[in-house]
Amino acid sequence: MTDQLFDDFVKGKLEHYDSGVPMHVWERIREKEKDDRKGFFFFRRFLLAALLLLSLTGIGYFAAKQVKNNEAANDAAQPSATSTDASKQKTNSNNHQQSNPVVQSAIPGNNSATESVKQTQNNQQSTPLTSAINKNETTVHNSSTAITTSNKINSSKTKVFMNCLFNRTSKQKSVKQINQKSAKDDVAANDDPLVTNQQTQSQYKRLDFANALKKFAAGNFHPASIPYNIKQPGCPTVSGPRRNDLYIEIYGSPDYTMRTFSNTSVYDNYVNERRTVENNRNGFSAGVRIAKNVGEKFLIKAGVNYSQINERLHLINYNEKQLTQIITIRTVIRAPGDTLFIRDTTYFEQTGTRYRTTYNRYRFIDIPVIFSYEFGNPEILSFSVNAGPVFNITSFYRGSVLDTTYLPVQISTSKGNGPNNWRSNIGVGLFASFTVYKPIGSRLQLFAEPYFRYNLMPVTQSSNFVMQRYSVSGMQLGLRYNLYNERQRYR
Amino acid sequence: MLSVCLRYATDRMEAEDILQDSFIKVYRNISQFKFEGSFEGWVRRIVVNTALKYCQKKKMKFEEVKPESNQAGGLEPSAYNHLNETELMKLIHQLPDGYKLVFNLHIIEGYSHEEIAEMLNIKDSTSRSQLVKARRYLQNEILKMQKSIAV
Repeated sequence: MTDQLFDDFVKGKLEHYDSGVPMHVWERIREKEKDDRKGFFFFRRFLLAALLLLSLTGIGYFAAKQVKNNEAANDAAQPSATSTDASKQKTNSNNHQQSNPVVQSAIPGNNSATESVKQTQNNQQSTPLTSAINKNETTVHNSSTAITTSNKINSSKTKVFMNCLFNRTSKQKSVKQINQKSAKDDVAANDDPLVTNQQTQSQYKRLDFANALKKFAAGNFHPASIPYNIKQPGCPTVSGPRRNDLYIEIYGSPDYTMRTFSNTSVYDNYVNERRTVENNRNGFSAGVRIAKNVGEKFLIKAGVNYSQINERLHLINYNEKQLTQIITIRTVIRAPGDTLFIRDTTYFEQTGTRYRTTYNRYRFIDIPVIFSYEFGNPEILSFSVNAGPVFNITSFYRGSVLDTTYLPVQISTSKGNGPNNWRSNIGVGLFASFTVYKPIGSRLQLFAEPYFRYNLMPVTQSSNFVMQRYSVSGMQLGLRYNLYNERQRYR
Repeated sequence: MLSVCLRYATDRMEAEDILQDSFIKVYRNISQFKFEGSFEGWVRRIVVNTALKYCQKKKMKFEEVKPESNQAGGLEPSAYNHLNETELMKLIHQLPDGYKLVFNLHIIEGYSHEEIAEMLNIKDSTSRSQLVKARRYLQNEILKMQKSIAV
């Protein structure tokens, strides 16, 4: 027989050779297809939720920014009116030599920015003034002379106020820098920049500051008229932190778990079988943590987190044999007092399909240590980006998994070989999340936090046949309560 | 289709896995079927590709196996008469991995050596030599079976 004939013979025999597909294979395909579809829909829902969250975040950010801008504009407009009053009063004070303090200052327009205070009203003043105010314009310039004269402050109120001013400038810009820059800007800005609506935000801030000082000089000082970003009397010190928050956060989260296998080269079939029969992974987590700010924007969070992964082991045995023992006892009374018991034992074997479902529970208790960067407007909507390690304290499991002979065995945390031996501590994991905070009270905030956690170590022991690892993603929803409400911050 | 999988797989369980993965792919990509050829051919191609992926995962080697002797050259056509599909399948299963793949792809699926070379990332010449050796191997095995029946 030639090679061609041989090839034709084999092809003819095998090309359309049909070996029947057993029912359980179709069952498996159907199950797998169903799970995949579920996973896809879950992923799509998750994606939609993430997109929605991102959109809301964006809208919230821009809304917060807009509101902040509007507030700044309003605050700038209010002092402008009062400053006009103040200048009027000052004009009067000059004319009639009232008892209000009068200050001579350097006039930028005359290019003498560092001119010191030349005179004070000798016998009529009760309080010396220290700031330098341009009489004709609204711009105020602190000079080195002004700082020197601040030693003469007697009034405690004035002291507090001055401290506020100096603290603010020390954190953001030095007094000197402000003077230099503002001198240049204000010369160009003309006589009364306050009434112009086209001022930049930085100019507004500077002018708020100026107006506060000006009102003070005019004797119209009132706490309500202080610009929003100057707080009194609890002004922070130069070295001290401005924000002093301590939060407690409680949360709960629905979780979706991703399972990965490694070292599976030898056990491909085994892993595939497990992927087929173990599915429907979801879970939840809940926890409580304390958050403390470090500086204005950063926070450190630590707490306790409990998480649980649920898994379903679904086994179908199409050839399950059940052996039933039947004992039949017959009593034969042959004569009075002569009773015979006949005991027959038979076995009845039944063959059928057995569906066996086991719900596995994998539980973890962890201590997350999270570093967080916060931004946004805490009174409207704020956000934070978080990351950090998660230290596992203990892990405990309940349920069954398949062993390499495809039989279900109980999960245990004892040492030794076997697919059922798991770790009682999975070590360190990595955590990353993004949070959106919405205030619902003066001290209470609602937050939503999509997160992802990657465990560095597998749940199975190193001596195990395959390495099995879980990564978790979810959406933490919770409440944040500020335990220490003495907020000292500038916005 | 299970018989296609069985020809590539090492055992029945692996064949079932291949079949499962193949049908999942078929379900997912059913929209890509253009009704230009036979549906069976399209499904069969997916099954073969999936089977090849399984084989590639095993890092299969195209090794040379020395035939014990080459006596099958003059085998009579009548020698094949008694051979049924199941026995033929068993014989194909006994082939070394490389032989089996090339034999299945070329003889049964009808791929050319160039196509096989591209699919398996081997040379044309390797595909040809593997096929020749697979053929010899099978013929020898059939001869052995003949002898054992005769005895």
